[in-house]
Amino acid sequence: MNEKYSLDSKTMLISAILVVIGVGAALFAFFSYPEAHHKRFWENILLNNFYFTGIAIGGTFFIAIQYASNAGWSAGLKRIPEAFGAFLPIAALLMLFLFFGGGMDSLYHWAHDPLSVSKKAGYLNKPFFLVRIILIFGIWIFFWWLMRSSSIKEDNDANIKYYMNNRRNSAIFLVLFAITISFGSFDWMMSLESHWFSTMFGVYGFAGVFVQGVAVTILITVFLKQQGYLKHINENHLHDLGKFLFGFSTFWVYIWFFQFMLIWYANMPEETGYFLNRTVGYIKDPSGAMKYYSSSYTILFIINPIINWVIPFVVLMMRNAKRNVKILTSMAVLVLVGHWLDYYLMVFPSNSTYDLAPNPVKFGIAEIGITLGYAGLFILIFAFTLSRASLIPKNHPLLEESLHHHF
Amino acid sequence: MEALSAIREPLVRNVKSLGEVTDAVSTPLNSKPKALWYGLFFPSVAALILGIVAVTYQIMTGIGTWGNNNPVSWAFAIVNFVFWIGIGHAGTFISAILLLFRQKWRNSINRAAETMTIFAVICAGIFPIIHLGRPWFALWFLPYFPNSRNLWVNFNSPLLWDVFAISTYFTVSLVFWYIGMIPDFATLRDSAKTRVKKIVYGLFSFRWTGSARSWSRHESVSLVLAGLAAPLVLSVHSIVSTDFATSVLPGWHTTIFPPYFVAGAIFSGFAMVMTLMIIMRKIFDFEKYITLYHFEQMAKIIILTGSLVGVAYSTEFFIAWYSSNIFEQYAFINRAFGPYAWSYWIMVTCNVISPQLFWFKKIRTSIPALFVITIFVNIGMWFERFVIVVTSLHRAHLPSSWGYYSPSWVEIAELIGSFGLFLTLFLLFIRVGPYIAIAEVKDLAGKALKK
Repeated sequence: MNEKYSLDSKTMLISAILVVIGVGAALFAFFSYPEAHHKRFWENILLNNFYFTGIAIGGTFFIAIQYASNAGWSAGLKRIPEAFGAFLPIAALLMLFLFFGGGMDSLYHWAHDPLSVSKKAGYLNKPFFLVRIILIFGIWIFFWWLMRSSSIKEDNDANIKYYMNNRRNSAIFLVLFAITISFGSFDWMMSLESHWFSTMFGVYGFAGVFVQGVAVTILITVFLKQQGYLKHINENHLHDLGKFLFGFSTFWVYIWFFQFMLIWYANMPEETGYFLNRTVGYIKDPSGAMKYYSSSYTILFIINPIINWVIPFVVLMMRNAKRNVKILTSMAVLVLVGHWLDYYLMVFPSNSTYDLAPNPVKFGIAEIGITLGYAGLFILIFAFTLSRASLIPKNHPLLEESLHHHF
Repeated sequence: MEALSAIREPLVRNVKSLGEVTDAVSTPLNSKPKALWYGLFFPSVAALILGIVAVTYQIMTGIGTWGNNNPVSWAFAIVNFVFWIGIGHAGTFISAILLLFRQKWRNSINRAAETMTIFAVICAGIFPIIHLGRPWFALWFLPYFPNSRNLWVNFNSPLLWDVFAISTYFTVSLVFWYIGMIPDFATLRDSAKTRVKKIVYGLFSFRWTGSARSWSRHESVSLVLAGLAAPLVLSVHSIVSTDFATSVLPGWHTTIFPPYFVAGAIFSGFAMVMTLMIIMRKIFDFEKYITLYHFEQMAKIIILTGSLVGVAYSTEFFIAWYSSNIFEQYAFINRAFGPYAWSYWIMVTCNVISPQLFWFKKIRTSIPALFVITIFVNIGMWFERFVIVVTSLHRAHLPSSWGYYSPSWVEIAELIGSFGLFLTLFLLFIRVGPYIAIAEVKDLAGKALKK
């Protein structure tokens, strides 16, 4: 009952190599593409910041709902998503790096041209943006730390109060999470197109990060099992995780579809610009008329819902698929690629001014390398955190239900 | 799920045998009801009769009997329609989504909640039909074959999507509800005291024998139906929300509407379930099966969905400002401080503030407090739809198209009538049908007895 994950040198080596690749690719991107204040470099930083923050906060959210709903089945694997949140402080530092390192002027039109958003300059201005970064990450890190430390104290002290504390903490966290994830999505992603707005965007951000958290939990659970850990986790646990993946990729597409459909249907110019940039691409010529281009984002835009929903939905609908390690993990990988693409489609086509030529699709060493670097960093921090505590929360009051979980 | 942690609260209390569950449900069905039942039934029938009178008068005279005007061309009828559709959601949520999430506490409340869904959708369906003015043309809603009018229905219109979404929802809910009741009808048949009851319950139970094979198929079909019903919880109210959100009207056109309407629907539905459960528990003395724990769980779902609705209100307000669109901004400021500010603040008080009291354990385990707050929530959710529909319409872009709407006595009578219909149907059902899922409660009681 005191199973511990030990961080082996192989994992450390591989993730260290990935980090080195990432740093190399970042330097490469920074110096090879100096256009528009190193825009391509900052686009990659923002994309991966959001992506890996998403995994970290998605895992934390998963833990919170397990507590808030008194779930027992997941107790035996809770240490995995619980360790995701350790990346949040790093994500916060990287976000501050973006803020202070010059990323703002390069990415956010409103940051270098405040007059363009004069009516909402009270919100879209650098100091307040910084305050929000600190507040959002501060709340996330604090609650992650609160839930994690209470859960670890429980290992040495079989007292129900730790569990009860975490139930209360998670309820408070969930309320704050609904607000912070909305503002996080509005600030970091939606304001890239400073004139565009969609009330759904916060929900859209939430749907994405939760799917990511579940998908990574699946991959790591399977990986640890193959390494010989987590003997008590069986196909029933995977089945339940698979249901979450199935259900919430459907929830994601529901949000994706309605946001698109309502904007397409109403066809109001102040809203459609966002989707035009991602489907056809257009610029304003000097007379003010719109000129449309065929855009290379079109195909990516169509692929996005297919790999994030159609394929996982059809495949995971069958009971046996959710209990089959190979199928389940391939769907988790697919969805993780899919959400990277989804964020790519938020960041790269963004163009607030509408008088420049449409942004071309950019994909190369910079994108692959920087993402690998972030992945290496995430694995390193996650694996280190995981090794610091028992894999089984042995005094969790609902643990028995998880150890004998079959339905 | 064989192991059950010691910290789990018992879902049934002091049940000594399985037969006791059957008796608890069947005895009231075989005897005269309590005075409380009569005390509720007669006013409900009176309200229903008032509604019938109002609808008859309205159909014979015309839609002019309503307060609708230009610009407020949509008002009470659509508000009531959306309200009742929303009420139905808790039933489907409890029967489908909570089943998939293995929330066992749903077993003692799911039947009453599903019943409520069916009756609420019936109440909702009446309003679009009477709004036609000529309700005998209601069939024209449907694109039926062969197309006898050489005129297709408008597939582009969300109102038509509503027809599809709601009829699917009603059908699936009805099938789910009925299939769940088959074993219970058989139990009632076996415990019936008169020959007539035996024959009628026997017919409804499809000669259920309770063999292992029947049970196995019953469980599979329930799971499949739960899988089908779960997306319907989301789709129905999302489609209803597109009635508004596909327009270009400030206050209606906003992308958050679908999930926000769904959260609101579950919120109002749970409040209504709770109100009715408190009454039903009183009528039948069901403290053993519907415990404070059940109410607490429902109260938690009410906090969750109520807070989500609160977040949606604030997001709308914030983005209206953020959009820098003066018409958007005006629509929201006018909501809070314009001529209909009273309705807006009723909505905020009832929907956002009152459920927050459930954070206190004392309040969410006090029956009188639960009863009052859930009624508040229902009032608030009715006003939410009123605010969305009427305040967005009464100020068009041109000041020449500004107006004010107040309901006529006919509309108020029709609203009261819909409550009368709903309560009459519900009170009649709990006199004749298995208003508690006997088999599912026995499942819980059986596990409790084994311990």
